[in-house]
Amino acid sequence: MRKPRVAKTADVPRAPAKRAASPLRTKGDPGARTLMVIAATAAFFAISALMVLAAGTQLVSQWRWAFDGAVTIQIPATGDAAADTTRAAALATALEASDQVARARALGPQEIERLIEPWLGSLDGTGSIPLPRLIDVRLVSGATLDLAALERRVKSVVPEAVIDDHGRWVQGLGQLARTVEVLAVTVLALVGLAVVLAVGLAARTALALHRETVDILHLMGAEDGYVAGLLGRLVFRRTLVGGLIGLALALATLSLAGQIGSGVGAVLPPLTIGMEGWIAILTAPLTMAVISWLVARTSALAALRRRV
Amino acid sequence: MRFGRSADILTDIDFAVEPGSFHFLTGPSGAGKSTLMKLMYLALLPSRGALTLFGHDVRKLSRRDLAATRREIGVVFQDFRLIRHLTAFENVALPLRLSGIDDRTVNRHVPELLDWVGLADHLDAVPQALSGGQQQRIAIARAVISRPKLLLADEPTGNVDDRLAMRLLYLFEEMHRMGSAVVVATHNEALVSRFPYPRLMLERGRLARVGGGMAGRDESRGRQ
Repeated sequence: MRKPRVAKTADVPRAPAKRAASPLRTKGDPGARTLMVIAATAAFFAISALMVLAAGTQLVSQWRWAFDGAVTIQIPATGDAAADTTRAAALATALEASDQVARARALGPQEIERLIEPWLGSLDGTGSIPLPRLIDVRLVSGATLDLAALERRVKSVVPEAVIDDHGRWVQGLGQLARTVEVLAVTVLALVGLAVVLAVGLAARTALALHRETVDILHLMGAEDGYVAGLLGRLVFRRTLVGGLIGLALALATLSLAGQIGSGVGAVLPPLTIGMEGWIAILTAPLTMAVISWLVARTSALAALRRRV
Repeated sequence: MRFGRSADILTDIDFAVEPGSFHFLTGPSGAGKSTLMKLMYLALLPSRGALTLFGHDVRKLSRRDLAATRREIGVVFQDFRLIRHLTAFENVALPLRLSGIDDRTVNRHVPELLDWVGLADHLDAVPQALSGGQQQRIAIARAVISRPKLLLADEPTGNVDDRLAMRLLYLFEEMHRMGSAVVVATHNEALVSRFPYPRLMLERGRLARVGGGMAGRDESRGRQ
C-alpha cells in the first residue's frame, strides 16, 4: 500500500482564479422565487403609494400656489355684453388702486368660454349663453386679505358683484392633501410591515431549508455573523431583483395612467412628480433590499443564537 | 452527557488527548462513540462536568470563541457532510475561507491537498459526481486543509473496503506526523490492531481504557 505523500508544488494543477462560490445554494430554491414575487408585489404597491404621495403633494402644492393670494370676482351677466365688459373693466381699474391689490385683470369673453368649455363644450364666441364676467385679482405678496374692505370697494363700483377668496378651496385642498398623505403613508407602512414579516419568515425558512449546510458551516467554525451575512446577501439580491421588477411594473402603470389621464387633461392638470418624489421612487427597490437584508440578518442571528 | 430527561448516554468519562498524539476510539454500536465525538467537535456541550479544549473550558467560551475553537478542529464525518452544490475545490477551500485566508493562498493549497488525496483531476467535480471513496477523501482533505490541532474522524472506515480503510488510516497517520492530535472512532477492531496507537474503549457510555499513552499534559481534555 503506497503511503500518500504531499506533492511538490510544481506537480500540482493550478486552480483557475475565480470568485468563491456561496456555500448557500440559490438555484432551484423554491423560496427564492416566492420571495422575489413578494418583493415585486410589495415594491409595486409601495412605489404606487409613493407616486400617489409625490404627485398628490405636488398637485396640491400647485393648486395652493395658484389660489394662495388670489381672489376672483364675478359679475353676473345682465344680457348686455358690452355693458358687462365696461363694468368689469371699471371694477378692475378701481381695484388696482387699492393698496392690497397687486394686479386686477378682467378676463375676456374668450378666456371665460375656454374655462367652461370642458363642461359646456365649445361656444365659438357666439355669445349664445350670457356669461358672467370674471376679474382675476392678485393680492400684494404677503398682504393679509381684508375681505370686508375689499368687498366695500367692489360693491361701491358694482353692487351685485360676488367675491370668491378661494378659502373653501384652499381649506378643502389642505384636507385632501392630508388625506392623501395619510393614505399613502398607511399603505407604505403596511407594505413595509408585510415586507419585514415576509423577509423574516423567508430568512427562517431559508435557514431551515439550508439547515444541513448551515450545520456544516457551524461545525467548521463559521461565526453566526458569517452565516447571517450569507443569508442576508441572498435575501438582498432576491428583494432587489423583485423590487426592480415592481418598479418597472409601477412605471408602466404610471405611463398607462398618464395616457388615459391625457384624455381628461382639460379638467385635471398634468400630474407631476417632483425631484424628491423621483429619488424616493427610483431608490425604493434599493431601500427595500437594504431593509430586507437587515431583517434577514437579524432574524438569522436570532435563530442561530438558539443553537449550540 | 444526557439529552433532556433521558438516561445518561455518557457517564464518568475522563480522558486527555495529548498534542500530536493518535488515539482510536472504539466500542460497539450504541456505546456512545458518536456522542463523544460530537462533544469533542463541539456539536454538543456537556450537560454536566467539564470539557476542556486547548486549555479552555468550552462552557465558558463566548460564541465567537467557540467558533474559533471549532476552526482548530478538523472533522471527518461518517456521512462526509460535503456541501452538494460546491465543487471538490470549494468544499476543501471552505475552512480556509472561514479563517479569512486570501484567495491566492487558497488557490495554491487546495489543489496541492487534493493531489495529496489523489483527486487532482477532480477539482471541479461536485460530490455527487464522485464515488463514495472519492467523497470521503474530499472530506478528509477539508478536515486537514487548515492543519487542525485536533483531527477527529467518526467511523471513517465504516463504508469502505479494507484496502481503502488502510489508505485512509495512513492519511490520518500522516497528519499525526505533521503535528495534529488525531482521534479516530471506529468499531473495526481488526484495523485498529494493525496500528500501535492507544485506544479509548467505550462500553455502554463508560470509558474502559486499553493501551497506553493517555497520561501527560492535556491538549484536549474531556471529562464527563
